[in-house]
Amino acid sequence: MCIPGLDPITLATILASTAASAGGAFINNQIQNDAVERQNRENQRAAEQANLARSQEAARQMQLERQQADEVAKALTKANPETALMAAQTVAEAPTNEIATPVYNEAVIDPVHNQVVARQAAPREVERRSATQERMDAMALLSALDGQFGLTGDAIQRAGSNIQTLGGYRQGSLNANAAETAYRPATVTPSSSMIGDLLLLGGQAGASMAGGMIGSGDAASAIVGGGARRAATHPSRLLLASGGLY
Amino acid sequence: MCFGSPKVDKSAQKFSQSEALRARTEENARQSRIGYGMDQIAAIFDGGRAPTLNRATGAYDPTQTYYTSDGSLWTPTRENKKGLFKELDGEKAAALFANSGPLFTRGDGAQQAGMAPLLAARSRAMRSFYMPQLRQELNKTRDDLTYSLARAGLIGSTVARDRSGDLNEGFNLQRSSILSDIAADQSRTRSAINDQRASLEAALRASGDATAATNSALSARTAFAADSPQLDPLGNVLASFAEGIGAGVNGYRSGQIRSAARGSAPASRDLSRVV
Repeated sequence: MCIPGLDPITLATILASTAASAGGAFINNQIQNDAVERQNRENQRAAEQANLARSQEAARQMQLERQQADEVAKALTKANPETALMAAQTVAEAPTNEIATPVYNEAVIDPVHNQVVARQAAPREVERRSATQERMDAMALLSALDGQFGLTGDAIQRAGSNIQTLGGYRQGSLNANAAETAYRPATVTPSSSMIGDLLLLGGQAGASMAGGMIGSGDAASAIVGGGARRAATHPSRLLLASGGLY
Repeated sequence: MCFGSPKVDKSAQKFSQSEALRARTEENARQSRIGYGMDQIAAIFDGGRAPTLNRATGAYDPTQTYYTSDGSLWTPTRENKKGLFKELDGEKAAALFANSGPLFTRGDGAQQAGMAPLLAARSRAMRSFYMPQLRQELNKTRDDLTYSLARAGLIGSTVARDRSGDLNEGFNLQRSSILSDIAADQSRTRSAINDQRASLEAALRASGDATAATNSALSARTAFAADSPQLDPLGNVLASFAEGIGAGVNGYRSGQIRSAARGSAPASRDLSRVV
């Protein structure tokens, strides 16, 4: 191959420096790509880790929420007025209920022997006994209702406290999960490549030398770099003198 | 093509892992303390077996759950020299277990009676205070009534039956009223106990201090046990049932005498409705 104005050595230098620069650039580029790829993999792993922590937290929250719902269901059952009323009636009518069961206490005064008196008094006594028993039963029921609704209130209070405790667990777990999902990936930096850098440097040096050789046609001394500046004055040699092709 | 691996700096990653592990471990320990305290409070107030911490002996068993003395869940985790929190396993975990100071396993402690026996004793004491008084009052009033009726010559009359009925009614209603008051006292006391318990549980939730919560629950139970109900003497609650008979008869007789003096209907013809 023959290019006018360029001797074979200059041409070989140009070609060699171009190849060295291209090789160095390729190697460095490959290293950059490896680093970017690795960083992406690390980011992906971190995102997967955070997602795993998030889904584990969701399962924990769901379990705690189920427990809270159970507490609400228990409280609703206990707070049902019908249930409380039935329970109160059972208590009020139970033979062990002391308010109602010590039924009408009789025979405070000696029995009446006079038949006329007994006949006249009997209906009034029956009526009175029945009215008193009714009042006692009413008191027993009210008292039992008071007790039952007190127990209902206590059950609701218990459930409320348990729900709050579970709510505290949920909040605390969420706080811990915030740290779990703030998972930071490893930081990747490209390794410095001696070969790539040397090739680039060699390419640059070769290009400078070639520039110097071309420039020696115009100036007596071919000084690397200095010739290039002079050669750059000629438009056709500007490209070669610019320090290599990339 | 490979021209040398890129440099990977995992320090930030390790730090975030360490912080995540630390946060989860601390949260598990907190929940464990609260759960332990809640179980203690429940046993103290409701009865049942209070959980207890038994000193862990023997070799480290990874399948066993261990606790520290405050009821916190113990896990083989440790902060290394770089300040990173790590979970250990195998021999390192066993070594940490051996050097961790006293560790415990949870078990069932002594049976607690709860508040129910205290409430029952309070109810019995109130009945024992009021019922004998009421019976005494009944006997006294019955004697007074019998005496008044006898003095008025009305024993065996319908008046006697009515007054006797009044006394019966009064006695029974008074007894029901006292028992109802005792039941109301039980309700009030139970409610106060529950309020106290709710406040202890709220404090436990806020502090996560199971030991303080258990001590406060025991103090509260003792305070409730020592708190006596206000007991006032019953007084003459049935006295009115024996009153007025003498005055009524006197008035009646005075009327008869006045009528006789005026010459109106003879006293003997003024047939009383009292038979």
